[in-house]
Amino acid sequence: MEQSSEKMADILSDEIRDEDFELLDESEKDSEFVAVKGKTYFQDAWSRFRRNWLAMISLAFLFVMIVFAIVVPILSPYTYDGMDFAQINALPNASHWLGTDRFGRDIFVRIMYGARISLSVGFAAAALNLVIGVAYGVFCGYVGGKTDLILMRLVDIIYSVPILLYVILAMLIFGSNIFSMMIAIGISSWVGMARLVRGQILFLKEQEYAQAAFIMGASRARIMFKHLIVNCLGPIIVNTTLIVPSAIFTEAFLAFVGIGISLPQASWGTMANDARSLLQTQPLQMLWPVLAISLTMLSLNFIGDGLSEALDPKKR
Amino acid sequence: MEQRKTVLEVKNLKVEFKTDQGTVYAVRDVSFDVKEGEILGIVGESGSGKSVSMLAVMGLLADNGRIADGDIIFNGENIALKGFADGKAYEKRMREIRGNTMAMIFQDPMTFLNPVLTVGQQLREVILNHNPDIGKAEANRRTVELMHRVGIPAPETRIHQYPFEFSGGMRQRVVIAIALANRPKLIIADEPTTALDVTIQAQVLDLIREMSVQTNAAVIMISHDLGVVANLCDRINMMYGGKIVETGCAHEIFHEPNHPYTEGLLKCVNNPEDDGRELTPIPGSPPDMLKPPAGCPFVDRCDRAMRICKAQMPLATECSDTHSSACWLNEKKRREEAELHG
Amino acid sequence: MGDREVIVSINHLKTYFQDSKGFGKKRIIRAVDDVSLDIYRGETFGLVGESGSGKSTLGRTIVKIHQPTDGKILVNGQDIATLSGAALKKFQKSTQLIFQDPYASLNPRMTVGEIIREPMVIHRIYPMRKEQDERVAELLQIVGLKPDHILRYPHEFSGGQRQRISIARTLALGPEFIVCDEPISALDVSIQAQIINLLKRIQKELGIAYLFIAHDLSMVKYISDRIGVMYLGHIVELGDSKEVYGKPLHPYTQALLSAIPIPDPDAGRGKKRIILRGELPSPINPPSGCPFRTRCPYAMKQCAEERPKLKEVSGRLVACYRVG
Repeated sequence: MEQSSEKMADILSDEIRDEDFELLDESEKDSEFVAVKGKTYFQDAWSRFRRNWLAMISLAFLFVMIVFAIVVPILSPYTYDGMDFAQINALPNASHWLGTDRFGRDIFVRIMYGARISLSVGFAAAALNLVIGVAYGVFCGYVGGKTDLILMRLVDIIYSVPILLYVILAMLIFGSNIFSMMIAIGISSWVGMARLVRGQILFLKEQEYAQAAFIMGASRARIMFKHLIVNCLGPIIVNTTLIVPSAIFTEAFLAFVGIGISLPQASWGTMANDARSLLQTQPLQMLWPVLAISLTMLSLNFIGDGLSEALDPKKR
Repeated sequence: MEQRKTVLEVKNLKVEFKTDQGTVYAVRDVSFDVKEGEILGIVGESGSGKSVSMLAVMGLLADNGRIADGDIIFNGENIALKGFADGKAYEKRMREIRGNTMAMIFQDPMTFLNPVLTVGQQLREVILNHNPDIGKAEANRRTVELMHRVGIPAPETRIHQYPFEFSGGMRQRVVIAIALANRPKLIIADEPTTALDVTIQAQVLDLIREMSVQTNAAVIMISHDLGVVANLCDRINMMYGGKIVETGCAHEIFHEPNHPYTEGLLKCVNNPEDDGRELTPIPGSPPDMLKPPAGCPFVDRCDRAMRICKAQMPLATECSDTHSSACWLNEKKRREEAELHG
Repeated sequence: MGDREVIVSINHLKTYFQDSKGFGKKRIIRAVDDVSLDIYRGETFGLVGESGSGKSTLGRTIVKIHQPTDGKILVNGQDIATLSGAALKKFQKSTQLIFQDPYASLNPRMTVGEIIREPMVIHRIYPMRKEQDERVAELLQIVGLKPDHILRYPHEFSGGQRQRISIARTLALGPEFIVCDEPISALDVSIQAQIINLLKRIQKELGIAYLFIAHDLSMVKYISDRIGVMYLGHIVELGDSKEVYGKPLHPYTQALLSAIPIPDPDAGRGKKRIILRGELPSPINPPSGCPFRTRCPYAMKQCAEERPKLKEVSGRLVACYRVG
């Protein structure tokens, strides 16, 4: 702002010709541009997620784990209960990649069997949680009033019963198998989701776009699906992702203390329990299931964190 | 007018933000100064860089933002990041300056006040932070005096109340009291009345003016409301697209605007005392600061845009000692006159 | 003005809310308290007042977001509280609302095309998709946007552009009456004038009546034919916009108008302003008698006893004992 007009004229006179001072045509202006290239919410979130290397590594790890859990027990020459008495308590070697246990069972195959159980309990619990929790939460939040009050007190009651009780009840009814684990963990975990979704819906239905739809005469169902549920998908996805590791952990813990999957079926919890007696002499046998549990939990948690960062609209 | 001391001088300030979409060039080469006892208005639309330039001065840029270049000379000291050995030294010095010789008033007083402390505690804390040796009784006395000065009735009882017990206008008075606590040299007010009702706004603006006269502090008033600026400010900077496009005294800006943006903006507001005038809006939307235009930032919305405006940023032309404007039309006019006179 | 057709008629409307905070005693918030006014076809009625005056609640009660506690609202002669079936559909098509915040009033997961198309889908007008698309393009053009913007998402637009999308949506059903609830407060100055002129142009072309709610008094004056001044749920003055601004009669209107910052350094600084003491009382516990008496520079004993009724004074309505 210090340049005087004389100095400015000196600088300019040789470079700028008079033609440059012709008026611009309207078509040469671009005043109604639209800033960013069209990206949907999920494309946008994915591009943010992709930059989170920790979450991407975790995603890759989880993918490999799932593929192995499906493929390894099919392709491997060993089964989860096949004993090889020639090799008992073997260290990792060419034929048994992670060694064998005290019955000569291949640990690698058993870990992958365990992965099947752990992951399916985790995902089934998450799915149950998603269906019941979201439906319940949306209903409470949208209806509101007295109905909401009563239904939410019911949720409080369900929440106050310890998970162990559900597991024992489920096992009484369905027997001691993976299915009763799924049911028990699913039933005890959907409550959190219902609360989350209800809160979101209560908030979103006061949003102006929901009110705008109401003024236009949109039906309740339309407002619910087109305007409310779509807009709380972010928190729902994050919550579902975080339910998986907690369900896996619960299953492993229960199996470790002897509830749930019965031997000789392999679950990470039962394997850890099995290896406990040999901890002094064969610490490696304990390491594998513990490693499997922690790495899976860690990666699922990283994915959950990555998703919550990527989907959080406030970070835009 | 007697010679007044320059309190703040900003030279060639550039501020950038890193975002998902790329670098936002929020402030692009801005220079200005404020003297003591002066009220400087900064007017611009959202995204013009008016708030960001002041956040840079206060050292409060968000984590993804940085001062890319330029000097900020406050009270004779260069407080731009590059004047310090490292980020830590800079943060430390800025913490000493803020709330002491440089004070701030923000748009929403609730974000500034701590909801779990009484108003008196917060004021006393600010006083004691920067004057640790005055003792509690003296700090209390000053607290009451300050609240009295900003027009809070019954300050002796109100110091024991929490911010939520105050109304919006009273809260803003508390914020002003906190700002004045350590006799600042510079007060930066970012849209201090936007959240207030018009009758309360009038009260708060009166208070700010009165305080500037009483304390002889320099005041920088960021606002989008031309009415507020017209009534309060001595000088006005018009910002657009991260640049100052015009600067001048209040009456120069309002009565002899030179830049088409300033002219356009004045045609966008209705003067309720002037009947029957039509509003003429400025067409279009502000520029995208991810890809700031090479030439004049206003070119796409200007009704007199020329070819040169697209290609090159005009330099400032001085219209008077206090008034200058960066527009190619001035150069065009000069050439036409030169031709006329042979 | 007497022979003009009334489109919206509000009779002794009261909208109260219950404050459910705390146990036991429920407190009543009197947001709108006994308001009557008529809005004529094709006119703009400006409604001004400070925050907490109940102006937004009034607007939202007309579009049925809030339920009235007492009183009646007639739109096209029909009581909106009892509408159902086809009559309700007709009301929904005829009455719309433009929100203040263009960032909150558009669903972030829908494209511009879906947003503007939604009212047509709901009311099943233009059953063919092609017709709908043509109508969307036409609406976008009316508000000054390009037809190729339909696949974009709201967050890609600036505040002013979003507000225009929102206007295009309200126009989709061909309304006769639009409540504009502070449509320009969240926008930049240069954009405010765009929106105001757009609203004016639309009114001229389509003959829509507006209830224009705002706290920016200079803009309300510019767009309104008549204005009403609200204070604490009551209308204190109502009349022709030019007359009210030219010679305000109610002390509150006088104070409000004198507080407008004039965008002119010379005129503004010389202006005599009435600085009101204190702030708006709480609508939970309004003062007895005249609602304004606690801040009024001219309050008398009589003002505390009974609320002054609106009475006609030189062609307008004023509720003050000192006037008339």
